[in-house]
Amino acid sequence: MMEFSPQHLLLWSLALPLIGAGLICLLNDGRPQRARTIALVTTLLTLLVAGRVAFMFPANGINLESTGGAFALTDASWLGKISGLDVRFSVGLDGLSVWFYALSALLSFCCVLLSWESIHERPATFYSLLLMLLCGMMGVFAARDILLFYVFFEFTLIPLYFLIGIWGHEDRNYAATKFFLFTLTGSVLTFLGLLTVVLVNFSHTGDLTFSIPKLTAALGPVGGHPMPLHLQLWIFAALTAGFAIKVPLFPLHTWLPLAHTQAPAAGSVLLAGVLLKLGTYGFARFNLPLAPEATAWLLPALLWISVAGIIYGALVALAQTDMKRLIAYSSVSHLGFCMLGLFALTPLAVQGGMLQAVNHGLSTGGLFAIMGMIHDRYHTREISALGGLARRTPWMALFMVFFTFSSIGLPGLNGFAGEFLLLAGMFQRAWMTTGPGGLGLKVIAVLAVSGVVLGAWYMLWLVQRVFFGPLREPHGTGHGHGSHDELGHDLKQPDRPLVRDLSLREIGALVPLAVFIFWIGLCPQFFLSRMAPALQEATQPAAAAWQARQTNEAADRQTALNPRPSVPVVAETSP
Amino acid sequence: MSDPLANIRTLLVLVPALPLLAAVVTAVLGPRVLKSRAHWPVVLGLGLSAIVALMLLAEVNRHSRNMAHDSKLAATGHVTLWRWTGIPDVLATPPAAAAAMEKAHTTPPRMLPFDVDVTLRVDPLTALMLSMVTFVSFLVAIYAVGYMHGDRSYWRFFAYVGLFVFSMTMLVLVSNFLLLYVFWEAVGMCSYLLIGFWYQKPEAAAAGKKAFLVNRVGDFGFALGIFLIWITYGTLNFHDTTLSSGGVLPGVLGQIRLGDASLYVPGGLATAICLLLLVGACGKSAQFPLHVWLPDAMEGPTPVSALIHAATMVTAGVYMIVRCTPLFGASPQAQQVVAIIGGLTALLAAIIAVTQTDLKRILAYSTISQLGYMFLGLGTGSMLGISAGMFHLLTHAFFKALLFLGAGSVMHALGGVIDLRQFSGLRRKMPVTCWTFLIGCLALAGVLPFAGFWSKDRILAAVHERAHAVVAGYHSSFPVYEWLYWVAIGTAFLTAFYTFRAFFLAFCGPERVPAAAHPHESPNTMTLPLAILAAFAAGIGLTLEAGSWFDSFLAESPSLAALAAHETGPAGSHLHVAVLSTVVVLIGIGLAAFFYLGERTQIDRLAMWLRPVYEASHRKLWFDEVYDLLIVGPLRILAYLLSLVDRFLIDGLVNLIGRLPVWLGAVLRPTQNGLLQSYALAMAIGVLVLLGTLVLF
Amino acid sequence: MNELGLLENMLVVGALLFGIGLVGLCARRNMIVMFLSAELMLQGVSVSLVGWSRFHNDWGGQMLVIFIIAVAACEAAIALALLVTLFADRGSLDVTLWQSLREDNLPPHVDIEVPEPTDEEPHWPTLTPAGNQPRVDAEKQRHRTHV
Repeated sequence: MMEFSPQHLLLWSLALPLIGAGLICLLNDGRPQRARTIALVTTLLTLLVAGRVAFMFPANGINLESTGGAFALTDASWLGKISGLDVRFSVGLDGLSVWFYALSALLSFCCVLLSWESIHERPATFYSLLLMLLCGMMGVFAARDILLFYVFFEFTLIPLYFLIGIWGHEDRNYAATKFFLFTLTGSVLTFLGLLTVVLVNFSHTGDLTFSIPKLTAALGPVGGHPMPLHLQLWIFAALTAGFAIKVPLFPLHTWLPLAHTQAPAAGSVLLAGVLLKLGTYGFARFNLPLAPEATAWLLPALLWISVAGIIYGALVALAQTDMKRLIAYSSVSHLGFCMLGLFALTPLAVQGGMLQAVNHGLSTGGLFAIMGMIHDRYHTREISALGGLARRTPWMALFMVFFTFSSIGLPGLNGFAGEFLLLAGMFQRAWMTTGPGGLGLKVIAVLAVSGVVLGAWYMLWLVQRVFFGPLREPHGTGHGHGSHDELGHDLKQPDRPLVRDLSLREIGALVPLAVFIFWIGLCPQFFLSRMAPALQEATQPAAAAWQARQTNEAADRQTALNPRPSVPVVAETSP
Repeated sequence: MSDPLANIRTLLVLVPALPLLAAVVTAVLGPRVLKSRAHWPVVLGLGLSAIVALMLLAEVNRHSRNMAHDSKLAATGHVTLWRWTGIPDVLATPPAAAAAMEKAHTTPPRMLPFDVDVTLRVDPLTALMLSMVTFVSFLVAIYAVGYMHGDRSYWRFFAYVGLFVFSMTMLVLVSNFLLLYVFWEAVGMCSYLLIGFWYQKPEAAAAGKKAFLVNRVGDFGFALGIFLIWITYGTLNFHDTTLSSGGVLPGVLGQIRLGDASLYVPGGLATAICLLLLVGACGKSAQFPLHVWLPDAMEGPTPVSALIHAATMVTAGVYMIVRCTPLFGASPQAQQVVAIIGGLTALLAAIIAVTQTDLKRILAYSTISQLGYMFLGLGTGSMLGISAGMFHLLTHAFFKALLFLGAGSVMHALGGVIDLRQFSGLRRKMPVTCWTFLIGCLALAGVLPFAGFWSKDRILAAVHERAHAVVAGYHSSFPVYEWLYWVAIGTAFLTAFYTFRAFFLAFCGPERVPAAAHPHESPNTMTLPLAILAAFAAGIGLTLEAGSWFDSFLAESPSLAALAAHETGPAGSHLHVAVLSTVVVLIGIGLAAFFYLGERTQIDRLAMWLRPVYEASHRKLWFDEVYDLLIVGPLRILAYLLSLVDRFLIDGLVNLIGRLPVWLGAVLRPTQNGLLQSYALAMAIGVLVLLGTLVLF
Repeated sequence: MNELGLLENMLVVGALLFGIGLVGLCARRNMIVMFLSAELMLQGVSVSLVGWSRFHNDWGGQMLVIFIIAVAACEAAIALALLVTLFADRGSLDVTLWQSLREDNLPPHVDIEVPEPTDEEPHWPTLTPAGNQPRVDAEKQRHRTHV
């Protein structure tokens, strides 16, 4: 067997989807069979390659010192010769990105299987867009150059825009436009912030570099050129504009339910599974290391926003009548957990938060996949139109219950590992903060834990309504006993086949997710140990800044309590 | 043998592994291969597991004295399977951890790691729980072979049961608060699946969800308690662990801390930790105010009610509090709350049980009431009370499982009917069920030689003792325990009354059955477990009471050893307590006989006379309604309002911003009128303006 | 005359030509006249170019003017050809007939309408009829209306 170096594998994993997309366009014959086969083979190969890279990634950052923490690093001049700017084609993985990178490949593979029979219209375009999206997603996590990052960041928008706009449901055009404009508006500001960072660094060092690690090193507290607080605040705000919309943080979430509801199943899965993580990833990659003092300054507000998202998302989910909308709001709630973990800034919390981001991709990805399967069968998303499906489709019910358990953080599955760690970390942060700010943080911690209860409520409600109870199906798809013949065709509507349980293909789409859900739940250490060093490096400056603020405030309170100079004056004047 | 505990460790792993293996085999082979033989793996697995658990009990008994006092032996009684998480340097060493580490001759490091290992460990407490759980589960599984026969998801039932027993055994085996929480929720999940086993029944699906959610509320408190423990003690392990940096990190319930009670943080923090843990225990053990899920959980198949909601899962809360005795010992206030909750629950549930007409529901409320007794026993904080609570837990598991299985037998015979108003006089048609049920009733009511008498009497004695004891660091102007003692006596009376009310209604009087039913004695697979359980219900109390083996064995548990050492000696005789409770119980039985044997006219008059009380009891004290009104309803309304806010206010704002460019465009639109000359003019003016500014400025 | 004065005069002439052309372009509606006005503006620029060229003693400017004249000639040919086609299209050279570049929802620009001459009979004064009013026979009336 040929031995590939991780560098080559990483480059191949980026190139394979593009090659596949090109092949689909070239060999297009207008029918789905060829396009989807090529797409399946391509995503499978990509998954294997990406999986190999991810599992070659060393634990605890061993042997990565020479490359600055990056694994499988490829660094080549890109636009430098033409423009004079040192923009490089620099791709590599580190602890922050490695699991997101692998998750993208995994979910794309599932998406191809998921769309196998539900896409009849322009299949070649669909699958080539899906592959381009895959390339964009893997690229954005692998990029180690700001310009390259931004190119991939925006590139993910375009295929998804078309996926929603062409293959979406009834309101697709509105949803696609809103999604595109909303996220684009934010990311343009993000770009402005990134360019400012580059220019600030240029003014200090005279080095017009776009390299992310170089910039974070130079502008971090260790590098010697930390930015003043007001500049950090501006940069934080600009970066947040794009990332907070992507996450989405409350109250910038309204594009999400719409886009999720209208997107085809594959689009929903990738949107929830990977694209939302771009926001979390962006915060961890840029906001925290580049603007640590601003983060510390804004920390209580950020935590409040996160916890508001948790509670708000959960409560609004409780009032939904549309299954996909409900899960979309549950995403708002779950991403609130991720951000809470990230902003709590204790090692436990940030690791839990990032793990939770991966978990959310797996469990919510699985839930959206099942929603797609229901839609394929019944052509409805209304909760009230369905009931008792466990009777008709027991395997689907099994997977639904499983992903629900994962989503509500049942121990032994992945959701628990992330939630427990991040809540423990948040708790630690709250209880170790003294002074007037401490109470607020304690309230946040307790509210966040209560979000777990609400999460169980709406998800179990959904399962109960749709899968349990007496069988209820939309008109035209229901089949009373005896009204269909031996082959399963409805006698009243012979053209409509009987609703069947999951096929092997659909089970094949869900099982990989289930495997990782179990794995993370039973042994999170494997995943945590690979992301820990990079996370520690990224959040350490902000945590230190917060600690310094705490110390200063405590000192200020101390001096306010004991105004030293006044004592001798009083002693003199009094007889 | 070089390692005296090697046997124990093998057995330790086998106990949970066998049910898990059985569950997996059933789940994989059940639907296609085994079909109506799907019970075999689980029955075999549970049987073997029960044997292994009993062997474990014997082994532990052999070693127990050494384990409690020889820390080296105790440390080897663990099996670490794999590392769940190991995150170095996350917590600045808290003072309580530093103090304990100095005690262990370790220099406290600056930062502590967050290490969670999947570690199993055993002590007498665990061994007792394991034996009870696996043995009762085994009997229930045999019973279920008959009861569930012909169900369309036969295999699914047994797979769930296997999974449940695995989770429950792990719950009592693990040596870490986090993993305790893991399996705490895992048994909750199994309970959710089993209650909702007949998912097509809307009530069953709703009951499953309710059980899970109420348990989640409890777990919310439990999780907070665990976080507080972690922050306070710097670790979540029960046992002492060796740090990777060298040195020993004393576990929360490890030898080092147990050796010195001053290493437990006292005061408000201890009370907060204990009360939060208590919230978790209340959820799982169906204590007031989180008891509402248990009666609804009776929608599940009856073996499940017997297994989960009577014998095993609901005792998890009791187990946890016993396990955390040293923590509770640091806070007499929290112990008092435990006792109050227990006493209150016992009384309230007994009051409700008096007027229920659903046989299973009566048993459910009696379970809640008996669990209240156990909490009351634990709440005394004395070794006497704790061992009484554990004793009651054991005896209760047998007689309550017996009663539930008897009720299931009745249901089986009557085609699913369980409403006491629809049948009576079954004793001739179902003699085995009748007699075993009677034994169960006698045990539950606490009549002299039967199991319930001994354990309940001990709890009463412990409360009585505590009411007159002087406890350091605890002062109360109000005689709480004195009151609780009388509450417990009153509950004993009510228990005897409602138990025999149910018995007389079901088995005595004229023979009357629903029209469609053909009552018959149940098959052997069902009556055999009944008989075995009846033997235990009759005899286990006396067996364990005779000789002080149970007390001394339990006292060898590390968590309890320190407490036991403090007790001044065996409790004196409590003859007057026993006499009083017996008298009260006999009165209760007598009243039940007076009202329900023969003509049942008196009782209606009594009900009319006590109308408000009757109504309150019959309506279950309106707990569900109050929760709906105060919590569920407002949250639902809030959710609806917020969804409106989301759709119209927040999204409206977004859309408003989206419209802004359109409006701006509308203002400038008329300039694009398509007239060539107006463009030319605009161009000319533009040039002029530019030139003008150039010249002027 | 000194060079500066000469430049000034030429610039003034150029500016006047340009201004007249601009006004003509904006005010006249016949496209041929507008085209001529545009040419006038072009020549205004040419004059100022010549002036500057002379002032700087650089032939480049005058060269450019000759170039402009040549281009203008070509341009005139093309423009006139276009005008012919446009005329063939609408039968008129009024520039307001071509407004299709306006925004969708704007009404077309319409000149103030001169009222059409009406063909209605003027209302002449009449004498009131004398004598009694004759009785009206309803049946007959109806019959008549049907005829």
